[in-house]
Amino acid sequence: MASHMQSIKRRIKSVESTKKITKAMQLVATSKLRKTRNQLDELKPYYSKVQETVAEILESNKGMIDNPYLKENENGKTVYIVITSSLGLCGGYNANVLKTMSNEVQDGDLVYMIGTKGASYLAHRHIEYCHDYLDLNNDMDFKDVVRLVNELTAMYRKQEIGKIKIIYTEFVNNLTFTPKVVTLLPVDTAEFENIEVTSKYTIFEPTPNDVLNHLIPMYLQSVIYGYLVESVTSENASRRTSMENATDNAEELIQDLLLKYNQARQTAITNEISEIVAGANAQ
Amino acid sequence: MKTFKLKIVTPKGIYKETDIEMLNLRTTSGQIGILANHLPLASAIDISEMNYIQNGERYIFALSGGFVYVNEEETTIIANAIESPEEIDLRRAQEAKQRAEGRLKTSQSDIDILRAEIALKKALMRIQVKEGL
Repeated sequence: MASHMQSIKRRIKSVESTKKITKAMQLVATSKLRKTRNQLDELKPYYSKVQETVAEILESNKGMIDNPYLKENENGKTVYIVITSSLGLCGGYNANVLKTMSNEVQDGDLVYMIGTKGASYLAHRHIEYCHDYLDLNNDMDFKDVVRLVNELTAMYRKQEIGKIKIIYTEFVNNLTFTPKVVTLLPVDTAEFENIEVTSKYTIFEPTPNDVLNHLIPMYLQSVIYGYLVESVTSENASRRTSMENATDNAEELIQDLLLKYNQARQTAITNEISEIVAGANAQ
Repeated sequence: MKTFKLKIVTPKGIYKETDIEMLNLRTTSGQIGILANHLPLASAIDISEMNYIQNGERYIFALSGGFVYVNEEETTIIANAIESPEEIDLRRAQEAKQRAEGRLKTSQSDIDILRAEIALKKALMRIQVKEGL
């Protein structure tokens, strides 16, 4: 009987220490989530302004521009930028992204992996990937995004690659996040349909083509950076939710175990008393 | 003097949103000045000094390249980085200049040289804006 009580007590202790960890993770994720959400809000004006400008230029020059960024290179392979996390304990965040990735990516495509969780997934399956930007989800350095875009656009202009796509996690609200696949290059004009052109007589200095050559890398930088911040926000939100659930579950488990422990204790005491009474009566 | 709305956006959010009288900047095809009621214009901006006049006073900024878009409502500058002279860290700029110069001497590949040249241009521009104060 006593050994049974001991084992329950040990379990309560272990659940309690797990609860401490999940509770701490939850608090950290909550503060990080607040930070990245602010960053996301700050980024919005930049990001939407760049997109608006690209849309206006493309719309006002429809069919007139012969720009390499607008054409798909049919022979080249597709490049995927995949954003995962570097830390675990964030619920289904990585699993969802990786599931989308394995559905999407074909043999021979190139994967630019961000986040070490996705990297170990690919390494485990012996799939090659580019690991130059693995830590982008931690430092979120805009300069690295610029470097990535320069590398990709150079490859695109040399016609080494046919398409550039990104797999990220859209942040809908604190509880909902969905993995998404978006084509970055060639620029998809269909995406911009809801933006109206304010002016049809814009001067392009020196030519629309030159302006686009400049603007599209900037556009990519802002979009990739935006998706990156959004994914990290989703990661933190997902971690917060799952850690909150884990803490609640641990709490419940502790309650259950405590009840069992008290029952066992009570039974032990009752037994002892009845033994003593029986002993006294026998004399 | 008639004013117009200027909006400067960077990846860190809206840097400035204000009414100004005149905007001077250097596009990839040359120096331009923008006054109110300018025709719609779109152009890339060089790594250069940028300034605007507000209430008769000139304000100078260091602009690390970007994009300007003028339409009827407002003029927008989309920049990767912009700093006023007060915000420039002179020592950092000088260090960056030395680093870039060193790299220009030792680099072999075209891409490295190009990168070092851009870094040097940015550092020189920052120093110039800071010391012009």
